[in-house]
Order: sequence, then structure tokens, then C-alpha cells
Amino acid sequence: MLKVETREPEERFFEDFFEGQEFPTVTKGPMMVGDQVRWAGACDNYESEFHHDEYVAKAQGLPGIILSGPLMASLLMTAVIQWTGRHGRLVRFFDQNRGSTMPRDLAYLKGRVKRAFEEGGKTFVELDCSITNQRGEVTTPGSALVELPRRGR
Amino acid sequence: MSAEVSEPPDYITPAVRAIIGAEAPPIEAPHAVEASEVRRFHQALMDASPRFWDPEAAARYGGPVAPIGFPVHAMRRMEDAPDPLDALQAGDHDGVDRRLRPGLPEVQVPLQRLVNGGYAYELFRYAHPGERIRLRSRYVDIYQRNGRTGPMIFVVIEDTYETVRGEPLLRSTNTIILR
Repeated sequence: MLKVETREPEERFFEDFFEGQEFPTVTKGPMMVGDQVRWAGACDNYESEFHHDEYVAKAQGLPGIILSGPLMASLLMTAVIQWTGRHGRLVRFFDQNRGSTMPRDLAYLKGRVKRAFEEGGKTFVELDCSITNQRGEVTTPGSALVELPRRGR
Repeated sequence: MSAEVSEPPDYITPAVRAIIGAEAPPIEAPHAVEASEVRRFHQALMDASPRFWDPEAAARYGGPVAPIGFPVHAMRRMEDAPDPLDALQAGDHDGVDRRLRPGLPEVQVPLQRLVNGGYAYELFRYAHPGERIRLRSRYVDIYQRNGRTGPMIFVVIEDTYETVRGEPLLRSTNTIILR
């Protein structure tokens, strides 16, 4: 039977990160109504009709069905965990739903190290992250703070 | 002839102002975190990290865990709770659910569009299958901004998620915009 590879994020340490470092872009999509339906099922939340009924979405002034902001934020948070590796501990995460992701849109998940620093005997990487669509519009700007151990400790 | 530009009404009425700081009674998820819901959640996130099911890969966490943002979505419908879809079919329902959290009073603002502005999370630790999650919610602030597209009401909600033993999991600050 065909299987997908399942593995933990790479092993990375504080020393592996530097200011201005760009992470490899993660591409999701084209997003589908199915992605939204699967998310609604995983959350047991079916109360926002504009996430699955185009008629309701347009009646509420939206251009059509939009994917859930928390779904997109969760995809971005997952990318942050993948980029910073299995030893990272996500301490803070912020995202803003600036634009909508609609069915058939691509989502490019991007990240860049803002600073790497030590505080109170702990080492952290702060990064800017975002989701950009195929038109170059930033739909979800965000940021994250990850605690990482030093190599050999 | 010049068109008069009228100021938008002040939607932060005394009744709205009175609910700033309101706290909901703590609510518990209807059941402990289940392996099946963890699986559906990590699959919805397209995240196939074995920490979610493989005890060996999850050894550093003391066993399999739920994705880090899971607690935010763990407050599922109780077995005996009314069907929320019934409320959407009520004749006078305008399509916007203003009960932003169970146990918090409605934000009585007659604006039609509700937008989830985003989240700021403080993350303490992963939840494990078998742990039951408790939520405490409160309105931190409610304020109005008048933009080019009209008035917008920002509702800032702090949600604190912890285990029923009081161990902190996640604190979320969610901004909801009514416009």
C-alpha cells in the first residue's frame, strides 16, 4: 500500500539560526472546500454558514466561500514548528486575518528570522511569518517566538 | 449642494460598556482529549508528525500529544446541548451569531458582518489524550473605530485553556470585528 512519509521535524539548535535567515517556502493548495470541510469536522464547528454556503457568503458581502482564519493560522503555526525543528518550543504566536483565502487559492507560507537572542539563560528565535496568495497579497501576516536549546546541551 | 457627512453612531452604549471585563463561568470540554479527534485534527492541518500517535517519537513529551493549537477547538457540543444549527434557522436570525463564547453576554451591536481578526497565543505545553480541558473566557476590551468603510467594533476576548487539574496549556487573545 502506498504510504506517505511521516517523521518528526529536523533536529535544529539555536546556533543554526541567524538574523535575516529565510526559511524554505511551504506551498499549500490549491485550497479546496474539502480542506475547509475537513477542518470544520475536526473542530466540530459548522455554525458559520459562509464557510460552506456560497449563497450565504455572498449575502453577507463576501466574494464567496472563505476558508477559516484559524485553519490558515494553524497551517502557519505548523510551518513554524517544522522550520524551527523538533527541539523548538513555540512560546508565542500571533496572526492577523488581513485577507481571505478562498477555494482554488494557493497559500505560500513564508518565514524569516527577525532575531536570535538569549534572555534569562534561555535562547530564543523570533521570526516573522506570513501567508501570501498567488496574487502576491499577504492574507495572514504573523510572528512567532520559539525557545531552542543550544547544541550539545 | 454638498452632502452632509454624518458621524457614525456610537455603538459603545452603556449596555455594551457594561460587559467589558465580563467573565464566563469556566466550562469543561465534554470529554477528555481522544486519540481519534487528535488524528482528525492533525490530518486537517496536514501535519504528519509522529508525535501525535507514536509513543516513541513522542517520548520527549511523555507520550503522544495533540497539536499545539488543539485546546482552542476542544470545547465541543455537549451531548444534551441544543443543536446550534437550529438557531440559524430562526426567522429573526440575521446570520450573525453574537454569542461569541458560551457563558459570555451577547455584544448588542446591530452590525451585520462578523470577522475574526486574528489570534495572539501564549503556549505553555501540549495537551495529551486523556486530559480534560477547561476554558475561562472574558471580554478584555470592546471599542469602536470609524474607518473609510464605516464603523467597526473590536471585541477582544481572552481565553485561557488549562487542564481540569489547573495546568496551563494555552492563553489566546482573539480579536473579533463587527462591521
